Amino acid sequence: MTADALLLGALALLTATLGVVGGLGGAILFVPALVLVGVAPAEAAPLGMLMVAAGSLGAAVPQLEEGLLNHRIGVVGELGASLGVSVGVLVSGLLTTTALTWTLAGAALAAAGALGLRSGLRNKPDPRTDEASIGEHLGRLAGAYWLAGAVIPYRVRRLSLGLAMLTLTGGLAGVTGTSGGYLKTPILSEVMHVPVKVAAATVTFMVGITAATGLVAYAAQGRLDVGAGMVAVVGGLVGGRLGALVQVRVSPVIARRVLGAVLVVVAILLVLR
Amino acid sequence: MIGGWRRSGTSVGLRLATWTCFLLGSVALLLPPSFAIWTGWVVIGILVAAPITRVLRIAQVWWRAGDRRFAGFAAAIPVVILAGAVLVGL
Repeated sequence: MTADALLLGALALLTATLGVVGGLGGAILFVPALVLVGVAPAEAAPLGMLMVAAGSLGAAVPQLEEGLLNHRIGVVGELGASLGVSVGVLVSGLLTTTALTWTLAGAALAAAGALGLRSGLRNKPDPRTDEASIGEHLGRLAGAYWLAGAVIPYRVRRLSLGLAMLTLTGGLAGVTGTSGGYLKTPILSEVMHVPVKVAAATVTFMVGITAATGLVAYAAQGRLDVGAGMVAVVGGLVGGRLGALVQVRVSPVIARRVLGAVLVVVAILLVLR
Repeated sequence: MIGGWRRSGTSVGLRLATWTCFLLGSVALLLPPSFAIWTGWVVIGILVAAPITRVLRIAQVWWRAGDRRFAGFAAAIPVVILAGAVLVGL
């Protein structure tokens, strides 16, 4: 294996780990990093999509078994986001990339501010809930998760506003060719009051669907470099698994701070890109 | 709730898909390019099929559990993606 392949694999592993812990997807970090080390942007974007798909798959089993992710929230959110992506791709020719990049960078900074300014935990342990209620609840956008020996129940608030914002995020993602995970997690957490760890795990599930759609498009355009792609896939699978294991152990407050810090980096990368 | 997913076909299928991708992806790095390309396309096929199959499986599980509304939302996702792809293609 060449030094270039090792660097690609290491970057995929690192960004997939961060992407899963923060619920970012990770392409927003991986693609600019590849461009910085000399990969052409047209080749870097499909590699980013492969890494996101692999990271999402690598994280799936641990997140499922820990009861962290909520499929119902993911499915409802992804419906809105997918509709937005289609509209975004259709109107992408009508908007200037520069204006959109600054909009996305501003949104990332606003999300970082919202995450950083809030202190403590919004969702508190409820003594009436027990271990049997961990996971998602039938027929409702609600659930419970395990945190430091206590069961924390939660339910979605401000659904209409959150869905409108997720649809808008999907539209922006469609225009700019990103998965938008770095905005979806703060929307779930700060607007819809989903605990940040549940939000991150749920968005990791959502970006797997987005990446699958993107991979079909790139394959149809003949833009997938299968050889280099396998390095990104192996790095992404390992990073996704590692990220899910870290996510279980990290406290929500630290997860929120790390996500906020990474979003500031994302905003800078967006502007520099 | 946790036990339900741990024992479910979804969890087993995802575990199988993850390990297959990891093993085939690693093998592809060692094979000559002509063989590695075919192995790589199998891995990409699994990466695309896994989330779509997962959503359809979830829809089936929820439908059987009587959660028809959310089963409908889950089943709508591949339709929305397909419709979007057709729209974008046109």
